[in-house]
Amino acid sequence: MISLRHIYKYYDSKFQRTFVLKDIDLEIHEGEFFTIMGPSGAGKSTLLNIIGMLDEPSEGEYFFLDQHVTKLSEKKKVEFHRNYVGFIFQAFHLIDELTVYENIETPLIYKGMKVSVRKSVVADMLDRFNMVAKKDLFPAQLSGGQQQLVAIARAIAGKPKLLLADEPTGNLHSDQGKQIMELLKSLNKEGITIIQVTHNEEFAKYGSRIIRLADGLISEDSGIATAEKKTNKTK
Amino acid sequence: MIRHNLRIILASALKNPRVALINIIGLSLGLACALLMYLWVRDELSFDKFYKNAGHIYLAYLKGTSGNNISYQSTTSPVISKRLKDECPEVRESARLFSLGETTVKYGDKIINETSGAAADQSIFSIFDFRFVSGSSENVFEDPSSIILTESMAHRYFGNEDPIGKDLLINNKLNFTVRGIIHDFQKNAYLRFDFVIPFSVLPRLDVPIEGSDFYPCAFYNYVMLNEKTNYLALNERIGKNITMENNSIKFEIELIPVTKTYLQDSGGAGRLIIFSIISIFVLFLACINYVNLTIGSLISRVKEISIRRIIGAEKKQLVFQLVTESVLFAFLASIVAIIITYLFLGLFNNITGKQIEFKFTDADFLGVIILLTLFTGFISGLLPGLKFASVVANDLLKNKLSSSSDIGSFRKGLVIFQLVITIFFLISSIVINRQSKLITSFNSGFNKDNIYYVRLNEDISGKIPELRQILLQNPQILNIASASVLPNRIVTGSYFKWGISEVSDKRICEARVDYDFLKIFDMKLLAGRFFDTEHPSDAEKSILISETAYNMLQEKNAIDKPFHYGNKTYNLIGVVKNYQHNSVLSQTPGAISYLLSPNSNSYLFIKINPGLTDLVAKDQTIRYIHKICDSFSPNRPLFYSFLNDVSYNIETQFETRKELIFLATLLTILISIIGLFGLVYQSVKYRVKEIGIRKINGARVSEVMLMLNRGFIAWIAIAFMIATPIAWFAMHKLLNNFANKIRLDWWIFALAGLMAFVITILTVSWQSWKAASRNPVEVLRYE
Repeated sequence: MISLRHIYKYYDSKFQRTFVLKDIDLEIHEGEFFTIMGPSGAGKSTLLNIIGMLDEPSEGEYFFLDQHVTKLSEKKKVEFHRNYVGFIFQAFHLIDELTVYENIETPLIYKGMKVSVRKSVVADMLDRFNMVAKKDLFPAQLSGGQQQLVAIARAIAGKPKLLLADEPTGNLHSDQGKQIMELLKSLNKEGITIIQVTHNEEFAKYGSRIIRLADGLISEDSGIATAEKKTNKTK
Repeated sequence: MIRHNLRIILASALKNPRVALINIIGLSLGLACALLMYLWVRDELSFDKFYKNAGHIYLAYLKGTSGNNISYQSTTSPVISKRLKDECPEVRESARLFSLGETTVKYGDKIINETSGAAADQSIFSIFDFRFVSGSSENVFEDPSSIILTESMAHRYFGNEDPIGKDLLINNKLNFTVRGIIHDFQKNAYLRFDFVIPFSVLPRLDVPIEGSDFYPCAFYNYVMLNEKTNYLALNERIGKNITMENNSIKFEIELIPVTKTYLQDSGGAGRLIIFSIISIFVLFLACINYVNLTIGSLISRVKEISIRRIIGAEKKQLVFQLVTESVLFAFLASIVAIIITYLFLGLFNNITGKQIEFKFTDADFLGVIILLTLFTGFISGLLPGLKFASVVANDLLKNKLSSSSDIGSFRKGLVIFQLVITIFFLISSIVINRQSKLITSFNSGFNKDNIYYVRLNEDISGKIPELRQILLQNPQILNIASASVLPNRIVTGSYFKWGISEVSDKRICEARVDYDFLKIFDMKLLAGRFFDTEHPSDAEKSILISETAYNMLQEKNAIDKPFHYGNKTYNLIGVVKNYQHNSVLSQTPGAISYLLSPNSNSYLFIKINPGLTDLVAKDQTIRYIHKICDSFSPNRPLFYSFLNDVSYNIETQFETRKELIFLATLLTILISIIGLFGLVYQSVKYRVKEIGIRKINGARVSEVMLMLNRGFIAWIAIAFMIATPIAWFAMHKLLNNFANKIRLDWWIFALAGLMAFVITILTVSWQSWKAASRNPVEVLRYE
């Protein structure tokens, strides 16, 4: 599904080039629950943004569903955002001026869905996350966990294939965090590919595959480890 | 989507009510200015359009070409009408019309001086469909004693009686029978009269109606062309056929559509264009305010916009959102603008001397409002929309704008543009104001204060010596003189053979004056002497000329030399020093000849004691003058006025324009202030924390203020440098139109710059002082 080849990301200042990502090679398959870990400044979020097409690599090639992303037009990227990719964030990033209902509805409007279809999709989402009673509340009237639920509902309302989660539990206490992670897990089981960035070792383990970044390099990849193990076994 | 957008707009407006209010007020001022200008232009273009045949009616103009100078005169010779009809098959109908000037009309014991009478051919009724209340136009002028009145004139004489069939005595000479009443002319009628009599009776009122192609040019010649006639092609033919050339001036006849005659005679469409441009600039300034403030408040809406981008909004959808928002603001502003327009229409009418009205049911007006609103909303929303939608979503999410410096310089550019316009308007206003002061304070070279004058008619013009004798018995009357012209309205003149050794056709004005003419106006002699009772031959043999005429002579010392003038030879006895005898704006003193005419003249000038400051006593003196003069002309009312009240069209027009420019300047300043205020308000809000930290680290209020104001000072400097040369060029061009003009001193520009500086700094400091003097603890607590 996702294939990154020799991805570099760097910023040029007057005298030196600061690398954020160095020579990242990754293959992520459909249905994976993929965790990116690493210390602050290791390049986790940058990597996630590149995967989410919010940022562009300085060098290297990125294929998403066999499309050469680096060569995609702005319009095509918007298409991908609408149909294939959902985002959730540490800070939830709901639109403060809109109600729960309207927040979930917004991406569907951009997708061009008809009012009646939209209504039923949003109703399904509210149902599923037990938020029917809260549909007319504004984000500020909800707890953090509830806000993140709304954010997830918004992210998956458009039925994306890929869900990108940038420290989704970072602003939540552990119980709420656990609840969110369970939810992500069940979504993954339904077939959504999930890539999460996290600091939390416990939550990292929800992932089927974990990589660790340090100074822009992949220092450890459980997937490769298991793959290697597999090859070892067969030997 | 629209519902969502509206919600967002409302929420952000409520979050920032001050910015929303500033936006609406700013836009509404701009819109109101555009609306007023639209109403004015529409009114200016509406003249004489209401006639059924308006599209086919033309007025023959006298076009004079002299070098690059082209002038138009609306009156032509009385033969033109017939020539056009006989020679051009395209001309379906033609009619002559003569404006009667002052006419005494008598009915019973009512005697009124009518100033707006006309004489016209019967065919005028086939060209113009004047609406008859009673009577009819059919063959009405076959009877030369017919007269047709407007309703209000009929009411003046007959009250509620039925006027049809009644007789009116005109100029104590001719009786006319009322044959028809027409509706009063609409306010946007340029051709208007209170009564009209048959053209054929003019000779009996001492108006000659015979002439050549170009003499006497005192008549209006209207023609109605066949439908689908190309009048420009026709003009070319007429121009070739009816033409005359003399003394480097070429005269032609040119047809001008009747709907354009008002504009033609009031100075052309140039001023409409200029003022439309001005109002569009004012509207632009208002839009710039909106754009700047919207960009400012978008910075705090970065999160919302970036989320939208991430969840799949396209650029154009975001732009659409911002355009919806600005259209909504423009709509609210247009409501306020209509109210402002309504409130200021009276003042505007006062300035422009119009009676413009508007109704909400007026489809044109509504259409223009809707168009203006959409236009304003569209351009106001598009710029910030495009600027923001192209910002990369990821940068937005991090709350740092990678292209923020780009947006910053864009805003800076807008503010500087705004300041350029403001300074330009300030300079224009000062220049025009000074030029207008020049008109009123111009040292005209003669004293016309406290001179009351009477226009004499034939009953009285021959009795000047007796009149003079009686009037002078009043001790408050210091002197009396008479002349054939008003000394400050010697305008046209004509080509005439004159000179000493070299006698040729040169333009000169003639003034017939009496012995006291020079003295009563404190005019000076350059050489020789004035007419004197001790020289009895003066009445026949002597002439004086003006300084300009004297300088045109070949001879150095021409006094007491024989002076050829027309077909007579006079003795040149003196030279009158130049004085401003025409409009200060349009002309410099020209050549004038002075001939003696002690007993019979057209105007009587009465010098009232300038020491008479008591208004009651002054009024008594004036009443005394009226009583005496009226007793000499019992059957015909006389016209009286102060000489200082004689004004020139061009000067009153200039005054109107001065006031309009002043109004536009006020508006631009106001809009700029509003914009600057909003800008500083926003920037201070974003820098609250910075200011707090600076203060904790020891910055003084003055230092913080300097920091906040510094940018604006630089902007004014840049704007000043851009505006000054543009304004200098424009004002230079403007002043070139005038014969007497002020100098474009450096201090005018400096003053405008200083005013802009003070206004800006005061506006900015109001906010920056508030921010700088706040307790930093209070500010940082929330962090």
